[in-house]
Amino acid sequence: MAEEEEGRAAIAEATAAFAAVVRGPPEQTRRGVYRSLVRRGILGAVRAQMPRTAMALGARFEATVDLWLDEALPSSPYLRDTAAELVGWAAARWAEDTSVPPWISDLARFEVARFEVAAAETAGEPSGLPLALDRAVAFGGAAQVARYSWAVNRLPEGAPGEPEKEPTAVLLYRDGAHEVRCLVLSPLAAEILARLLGGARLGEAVTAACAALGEPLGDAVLRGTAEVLADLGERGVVLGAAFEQGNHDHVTHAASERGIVAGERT
Amino acid sequence: MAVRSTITGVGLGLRFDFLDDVLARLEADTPLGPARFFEVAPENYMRRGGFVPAALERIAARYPLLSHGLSMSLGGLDPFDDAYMRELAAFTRRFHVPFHSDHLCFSGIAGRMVHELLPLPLTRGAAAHVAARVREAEERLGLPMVVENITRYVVPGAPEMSEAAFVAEVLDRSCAKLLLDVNNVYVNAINDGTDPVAFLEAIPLDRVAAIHVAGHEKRAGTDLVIDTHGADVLGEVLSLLTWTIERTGPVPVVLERDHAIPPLDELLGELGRVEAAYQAGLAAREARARG
Repeated sequence: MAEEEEGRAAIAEATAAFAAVVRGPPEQTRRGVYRSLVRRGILGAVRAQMPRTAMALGARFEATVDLWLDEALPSSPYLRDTAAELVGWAAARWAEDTSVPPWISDLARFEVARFEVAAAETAGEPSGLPLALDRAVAFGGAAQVARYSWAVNRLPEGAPGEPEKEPTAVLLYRDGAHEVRCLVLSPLAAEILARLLGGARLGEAVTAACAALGEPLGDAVLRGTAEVLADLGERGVVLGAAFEQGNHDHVTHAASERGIVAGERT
Repeated sequence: MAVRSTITGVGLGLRFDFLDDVLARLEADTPLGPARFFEVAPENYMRRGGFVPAALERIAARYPLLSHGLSMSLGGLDPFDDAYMRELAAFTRRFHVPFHSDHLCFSGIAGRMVHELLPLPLTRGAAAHVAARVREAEERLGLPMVVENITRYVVPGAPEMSEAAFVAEVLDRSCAKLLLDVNNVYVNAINDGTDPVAFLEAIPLDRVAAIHVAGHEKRAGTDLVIDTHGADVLGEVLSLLTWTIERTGPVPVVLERDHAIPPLDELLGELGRVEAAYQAGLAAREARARG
């Protein structure tokens, strides 16, 4: 054990030395090779996930990665998580930097979200349970609601361009052929789906979404919700009602009586 | 934990760059040159859905897999990531790999990951620490661990022993086997101005479970050679492979290519060169056995 302790002390010294190299300025030494190897590996991984962000930022993209590695370094053992970690760190800095296009954070988040949906674990087969207001909704696992201030979802692939300033909500999901699809959502649909994806029961999600937007909970909302969920069922995004038992509350009962159910189409 | 593997011959490190081409050939029932197996980095498939793991399922239905990890940080001071170890155990069980390999290095810095292979101090204490971690990894995975010698551009701290002695010490203390990267041996020898065969003669070749070969490149403006996996395998490295196979006998040999990856046909042609070096080693071994 004493030997192992000595070993850990030696490794701690090596760790501190490499941390200084990796986070420090470039140096033309053999140790300095590690700074460039770390940066090349991580830069390549994040660039692959957000090519349009990298293209739009040009040299500033690499400078951002450099600064991130100086200050933070990734924490996930998965290299593919580094892009999301970078965006989480950089978004606030980009927002404050007037030399950076104001839509960069939205574009970066959109590109990372697309990758996350493409790679997300799936949640399984259809539950076989019809949607019910007092139950949560089971999703296929690879779906996200994302909101942007700029319509980054309309930017063409592989070409430079600037998005229009337009509040946008989308549902990103993966289809049966593993392709990522993007559905533009109304503000109400986004509010409802975000709550459902967060695990809320259907009735609660609809009621809370209407309250959040100041929308009356009328027949049009009920019909629209049923149609959206049925459509998502056909796309394989909604798998039915989730297997969970909960206490029914008055709001849920009230909504149930008004017929906010997508029926058995899912 | 004893390694029980029937996989021998040459195989390819599977990369996303040619995943579609491999699948197309499986679909068309077209042979993949001399490739007898694929080696995969489990981190690319773990905790993941969609096309990539589905593609791996199709490949695994036709070819045996070897599992070669990148992120365990075997020599690191941070505890193993519990979720990562659980996912890795599930992956290795799912694909029935005979062992899991990772590098004789560390990659974690105070809870952070550099995603690079950082060299360990060449001390008895460091060997004891790594060996304990190898045994812990075996227990947690329920699978034999195999450790790979790395390319290193510096040796941190004051070495107490040679790199070959360090590798041997880790193997002895952990009872693990070795994934011998002959390109790493060659690159280190070039950078140190030493003889790669002297290194090979100093390590326990009877503990070799698998071999890696790859290409490397000179760092611009310096004399330093970097293990980039971005070029063809040098003849000198193939000679080291033949020399080693003559002494180890048949083991799986993996061609790694991570950068400047050529079209699949070209890569399979390269694998053919590796196969020829491998067969030359086996022939030399047979001739030696005949006396």
